[in-house]
Amino acid sequence: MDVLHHYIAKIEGHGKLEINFKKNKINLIIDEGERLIEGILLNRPYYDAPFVTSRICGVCPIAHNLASLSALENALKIEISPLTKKLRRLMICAQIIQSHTLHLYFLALSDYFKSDSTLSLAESHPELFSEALKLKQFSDHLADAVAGRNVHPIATAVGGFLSIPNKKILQSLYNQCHEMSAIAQKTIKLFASFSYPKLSNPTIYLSLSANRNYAMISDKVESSTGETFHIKNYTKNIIETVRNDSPSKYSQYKNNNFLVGALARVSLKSNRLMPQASKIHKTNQDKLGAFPAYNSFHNNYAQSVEILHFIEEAQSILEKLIDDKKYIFKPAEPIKLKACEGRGVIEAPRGLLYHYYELDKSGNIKNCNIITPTAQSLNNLEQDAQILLDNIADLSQKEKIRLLEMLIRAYDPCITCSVH
Amino acid sequence: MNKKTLAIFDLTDCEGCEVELFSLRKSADWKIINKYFNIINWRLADEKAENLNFDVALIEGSPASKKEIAFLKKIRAKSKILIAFGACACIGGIPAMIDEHKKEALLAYVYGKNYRSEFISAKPLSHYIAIDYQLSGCPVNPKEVKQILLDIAHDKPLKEKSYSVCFECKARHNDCLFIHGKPCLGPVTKAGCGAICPAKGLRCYGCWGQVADANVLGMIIALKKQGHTKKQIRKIMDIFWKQSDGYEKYLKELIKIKIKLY
Repeated sequence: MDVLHHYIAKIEGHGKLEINFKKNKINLIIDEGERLIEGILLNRPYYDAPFVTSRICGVCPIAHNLASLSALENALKIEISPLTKKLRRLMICAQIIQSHTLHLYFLALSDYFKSDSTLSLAESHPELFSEALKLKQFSDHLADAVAGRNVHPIATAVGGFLSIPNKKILQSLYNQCHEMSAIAQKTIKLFASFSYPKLSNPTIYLSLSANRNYAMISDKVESSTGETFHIKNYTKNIIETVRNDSPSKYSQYKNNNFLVGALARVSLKSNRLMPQASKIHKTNQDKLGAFPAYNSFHNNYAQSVEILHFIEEAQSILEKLIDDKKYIFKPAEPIKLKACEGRGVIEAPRGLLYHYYELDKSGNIKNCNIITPTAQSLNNLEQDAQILLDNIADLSQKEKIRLLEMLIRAYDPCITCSVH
Repeated sequence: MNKKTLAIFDLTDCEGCEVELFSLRKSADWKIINKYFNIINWRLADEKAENLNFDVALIEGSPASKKEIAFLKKIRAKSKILIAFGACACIGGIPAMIDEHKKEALLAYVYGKNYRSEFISAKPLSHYIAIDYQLSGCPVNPKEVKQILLDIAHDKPLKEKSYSVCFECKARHNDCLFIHGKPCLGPVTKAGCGAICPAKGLRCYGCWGQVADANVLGMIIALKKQGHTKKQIRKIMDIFWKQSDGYEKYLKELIKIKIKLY
């Protein structure tokens, strides 16, 4: 068989590998219908955007909801309160832990055990999966408490929240952090123990930048080449192209392929990780060799580091909220509408997520643009896949497919988001 | 005891309902579900689609191509009970909100004018095949999912809830958002969510679909009295109901009865 079409299992959304074994060429086929979310939002009131855009993705709905809210607040010049900031940060913690745990244990892990199904792996390693489910449940409860539900947020609003969790719930979540941190440490140990396939592609990493913390919401993007840009210039820096045979768009940064997501974040911001995550990551670097060595398989390891980081962060925020004597619910201020435009960018589990809205004087959406993380990393993924295929030219077809599929899963692509 | 075979498939959608189904896993509920069901194809977690017959098929999302419609028909033929799983499968969901006559223009808006789509617009599964039950919601409610699966396990007849979100909302002692001036669709939306949105302060968007015998005209009149224009009422209702019968017709009727009411 010269050209093979292979359905990629265990990723979010639908995609196929097209491998031409004769020419040693690879192509990733995006197999989802356009939902035209940006088009659907036109002429709708601004407050529908966070509700509708969270439905772009059931795996990272919180990320879309928050990116949409920050873009609208940027447009309407609304300052959010320190309490709102803390609660939204908790939502991001929940989102990253949820998404990474689901991906690492239930989609990616079987690759490293060379098991062909997650279900059989779960049967042979029940204790591992029981702990993974505890992590997942903790993150679901955290999202439930703050966002109102584990999938598709309810309690958020432009300018603040519609309701906030009571301290009893915050306390019960805080009490679980110690156990979760122990599970997360084991998770890092597991993902640091794998021997990742060899791959090197010196690409550019992009992530959010802030002076002190591990930035997840910010207005500045930094690159591994030492450059930064302000999000008001994002469409000048992230150039999207349309291919006539794909419902996803493809991005470049200054004519280069680039990578966003856990690997980019941990690589660029390792000095801003929370204490335990930072300590363990430093120790592992001796074992893993130079990290990241521009090996995209390391993305899974980076995701495991982030799970611990965000548990530590959640613990720290929960502690502050529990001790806060002024912790009371205040509804968001009434909004003064005017013709305006604004941008928001946040770090979704898979990387930078941009939302842009232009509103008319009645608050209806006149223009909208959304660039999702997977759409940004697709060019790099294709390049990596080609390099890998060239590296493994001697292997059997079956082995080639296995490794290519494993690489795609290591990216944790969300085809659902990439099309939107 | 012979376990029933349960197959789970997803078409084009956000996969949020599958994530909700997954969230059942940690609970004792999952053990109960596993006692009665043999889950044979879960695309997110399992690679091999087995070519078997199914006692129950849960289908999430809507077909985006002719190939997917053919696949859907094949699954229908192989399934004793076929359940539309989530708002996209039941009522078309968010993607079905699109105005078909504007689709060409919107494709050009998003992709540029040289782009040609090979995909079809989102429609509820019932547009293509007969369905036996709707597990509604955007996303589904895991508690309701568990209950229906247990009803199937015990061969109970499957009944759609015949009351509206308002009943669940009152039972939770929530403050009425409609009375506070919010265009809440709770009075005409099928129950099952447990009034989760109003409980958190968000008005009902109608994601469970219309309740049987919904008084949609009454709802439109109430929204009009609340001060919403016809255009606004359409926007409130078409987020989830674009493919549902009723409100367009009633919005037209509203013109006729306008004088009598105001």
